[in-house]
Amino acid sequence: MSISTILSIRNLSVSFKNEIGEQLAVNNINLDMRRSQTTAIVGESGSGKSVTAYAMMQLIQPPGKITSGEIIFTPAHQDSFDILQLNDNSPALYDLRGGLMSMIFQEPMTALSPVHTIGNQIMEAILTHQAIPKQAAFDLAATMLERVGIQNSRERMLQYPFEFSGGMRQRVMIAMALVCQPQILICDEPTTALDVTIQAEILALLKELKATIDISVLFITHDLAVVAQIADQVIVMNQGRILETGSVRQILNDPIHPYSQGLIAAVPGMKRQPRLDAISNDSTRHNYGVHPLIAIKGDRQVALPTPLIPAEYQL
Amino acid sequence: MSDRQLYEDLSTRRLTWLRFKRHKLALISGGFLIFIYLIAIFCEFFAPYEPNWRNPKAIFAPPQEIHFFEANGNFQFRPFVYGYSLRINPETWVREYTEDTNQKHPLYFFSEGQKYQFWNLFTARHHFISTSEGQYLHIFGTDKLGRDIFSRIVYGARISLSLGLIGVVLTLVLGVLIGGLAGYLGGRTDNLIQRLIEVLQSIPTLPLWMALSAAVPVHWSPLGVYFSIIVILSFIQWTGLARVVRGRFLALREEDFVVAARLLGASQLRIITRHLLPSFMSHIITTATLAIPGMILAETALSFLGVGLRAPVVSWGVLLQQAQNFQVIVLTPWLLIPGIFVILVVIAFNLLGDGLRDAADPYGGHQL
Amino acid sequence: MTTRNLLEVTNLSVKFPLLKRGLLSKQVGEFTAVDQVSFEVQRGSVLGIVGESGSGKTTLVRAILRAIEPSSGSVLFHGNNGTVDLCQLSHKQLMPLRTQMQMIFQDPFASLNPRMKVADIIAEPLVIHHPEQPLEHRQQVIKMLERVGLEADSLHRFPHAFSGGQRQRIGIARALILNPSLVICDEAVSALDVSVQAQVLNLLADLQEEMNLTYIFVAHDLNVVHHFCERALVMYRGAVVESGPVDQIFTSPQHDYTKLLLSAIPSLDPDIKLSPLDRNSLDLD
Repeated sequence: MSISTILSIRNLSVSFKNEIGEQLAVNNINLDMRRSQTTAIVGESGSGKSVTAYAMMQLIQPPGKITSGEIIFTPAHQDSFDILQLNDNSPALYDLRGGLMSMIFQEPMTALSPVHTIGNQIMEAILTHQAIPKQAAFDLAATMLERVGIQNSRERMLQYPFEFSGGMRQRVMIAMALVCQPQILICDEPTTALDVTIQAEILALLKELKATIDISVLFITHDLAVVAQIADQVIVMNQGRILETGSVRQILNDPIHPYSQGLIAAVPGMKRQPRLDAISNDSTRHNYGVHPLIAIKGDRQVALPTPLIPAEYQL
Repeated sequence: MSDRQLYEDLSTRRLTWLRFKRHKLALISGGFLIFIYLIAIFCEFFAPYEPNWRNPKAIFAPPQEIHFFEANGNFQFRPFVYGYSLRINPETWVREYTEDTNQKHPLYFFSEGQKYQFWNLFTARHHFISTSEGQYLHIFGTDKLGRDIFSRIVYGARISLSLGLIGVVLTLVLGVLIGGLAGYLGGRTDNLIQRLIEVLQSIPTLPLWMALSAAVPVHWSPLGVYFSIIVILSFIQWTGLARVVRGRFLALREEDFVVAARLLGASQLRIITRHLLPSFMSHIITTATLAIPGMILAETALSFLGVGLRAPVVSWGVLLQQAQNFQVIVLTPWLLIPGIFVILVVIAFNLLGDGLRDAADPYGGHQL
Repeated sequence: MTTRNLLEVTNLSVKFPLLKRGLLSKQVGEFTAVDQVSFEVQRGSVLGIVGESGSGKTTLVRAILRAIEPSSGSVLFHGNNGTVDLCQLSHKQLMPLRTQMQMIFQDPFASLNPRMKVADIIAEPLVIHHPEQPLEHRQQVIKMLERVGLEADSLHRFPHAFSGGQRQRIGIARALILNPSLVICDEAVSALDVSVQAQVLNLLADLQEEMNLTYIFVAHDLNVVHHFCERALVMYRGAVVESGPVDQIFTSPQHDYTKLLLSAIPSLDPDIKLSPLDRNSLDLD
């Protein structure tokens, strides 16, 4: 694993139990996150993208279970370790969550406690990881709120989540996630529930933060246009498997796997067309066959059998 | 058909049953309750004696042990009990009963014993368990009049358990009707009904019940008193259910599929019966199941206090009324056995209700 | 002779009373969800209504169908039996008209009764409006199923057995089985995955041709509206701020809010950077 890889997932499988039996939500995936870059996992519902993110912080609860794999994390100036080997309740895991690695979620209202003030919640995040006096934590929290674009932060610290709009709450969540200076930020569909104008503001904020703070981001979404705006690397998932990886330009301008091609063709573009190129059957159960990810030219990977990969891409 | 296809073809009811089966405790409770209700239905058959029959040889007698081995070690296939030999302690004047190994009372199953009227329909003599003429069996001992506690518990089951059931049905009808009206019509009707519920719920229940109970005419037949008690208990209980129903109606009213039905032109009646009711039936059944123990406990409490059912009616509450003083615990603790049955039944209903509630909730698991 | 317009909405408003909590819930003010909206829908066309949350677009279309009561205004519907003002009719008078106007809902999970079989769900409109012909219902249901791309053995299954896209198809079948002229799609594809969304949009387009439908298409995704609709209304805080042919709105927006909305749409091209307008610098009211 090179020094430019901050996180490496190997052979990860997560299963869920329901009335019919056990089903694999994530099926033996391998992926690398590059340091200081934004990696986007894009997929539709049931692809396993959110489950992968939850697994990274050992947040999988029954009826879900991590059945195999390792997640090797290499923080700056530290040794690598396997996150999945950390024990429940171990200090190392507590340091990880919210400290070295933090997460923002899709629904800001349910991710924030409605009975505590915003200030309290951010300060809790700080004080869990740093032993500093309360006043210092307050100042730090207020500064962070200003940083994410909330004006009059010292007054707003005393307000409750219901006094904030959806976009503001998302900013608060970002503040909470970044206040302990994590090295990895996981964003689980953070703009899906927001209006498009608010989404644009949040994306602009995230891009600006990424430019000024050295942080590696894992961005989970189903929206290809958002991926185009914010990602450096893209991973395409479907039904628990990775189908294709590459840079954002490679995947969006030049997709190889038929699923990726279909996904892009299905997005209504900016021009009026009589029909969209829909993926033929109801793609929720479309079977692309199981193929390992093969490395191809341009530092990309695709899960197709070699005969189906156009010659100019093959190594 | 694959497993998945079988699963997809199941109706909600079948799915609920499958989920319910996974709760072992709830299943066991369900089985236990069916067993107890069967005993209550056939109580004349299961009890060896009539509830008011007295055995003058056994006043405040302790439970008899069932033996398979004689005193000299012989094994006997047919179980038996020993009769009592009574000695009155000269110093404390307390009755002391010991086993008299000379009196062997063998137990007979499914054979003739005391005559009884089965549900007042016909006369019969066969009992599940009995002894021969002149001999006696008191598995749970006797009370101060020499009446067999075990028989009285069995007969009492019929009254206590049926009262709970019928009471809940009445509560259901009132609760669903009134709560449904409030939730569906909304506005002023809803307001009025809610205020009424609040007033009713703020009245202290026990004193209210006692007052209403005292108002029941003394000369009414036991059956009349029985039904009055049911009405009195339901008088308050329906409010809780009505609130739940109202809440569900309010929530369901705005569900897309209900709006869709309205836009299709469905009549109010069709919407209520076809769309709203089926959706919260499982909720209601669960709430009702959890309300039954409340009813049983309420009747028990009232009768225990002497303002509920009265002799000669036998219910578990009436039985417990005999156990009101301290001497009971020390000298004749077997009089408290009806309490154990109350506890068991209440626990069983609660476990069953929990199981039903978990099974009926389709989103109980993790949704990702 | 059929008119050019199928629907004419004039000064439609929907106001909700704000209640003070008390023993008797006194009204202390009102909230205007839809503010004097007027527009026309031509027969056979597709009109898009686009706006963000709180714009009032869903309230507007539900008020048109009288699922919510409008406070004032008129909705002229030029139906098969002449012209009526939907706002003036009682619910009983509306009943026969319901066969001519239907709605497809956003949430594929909530819009179907989970305890009814698919066959019953789709047949319900027939049962309500043509109860005297029960034998023909089944035939019509099967035909409708095929038309929306579902297999005939879906009939005896329950909604939970189907995916989101398939459930939307069931909802479409239910809405169209009575051959309405006006179909309102209330964010009908917003909750679907992108690939499924494409299929459903194609299906809606095909059905429009086959059955001569007029659509009002409510959405918050501008790209979808651009793709699917001919004309569009842009709503902001209950009012229509811009209307016109879709291409015109997109290439030369007039109102500041439309400009803001358009600037916020991310492009699929990674080299075209998103540069949203600053909301505060615009005059939005």
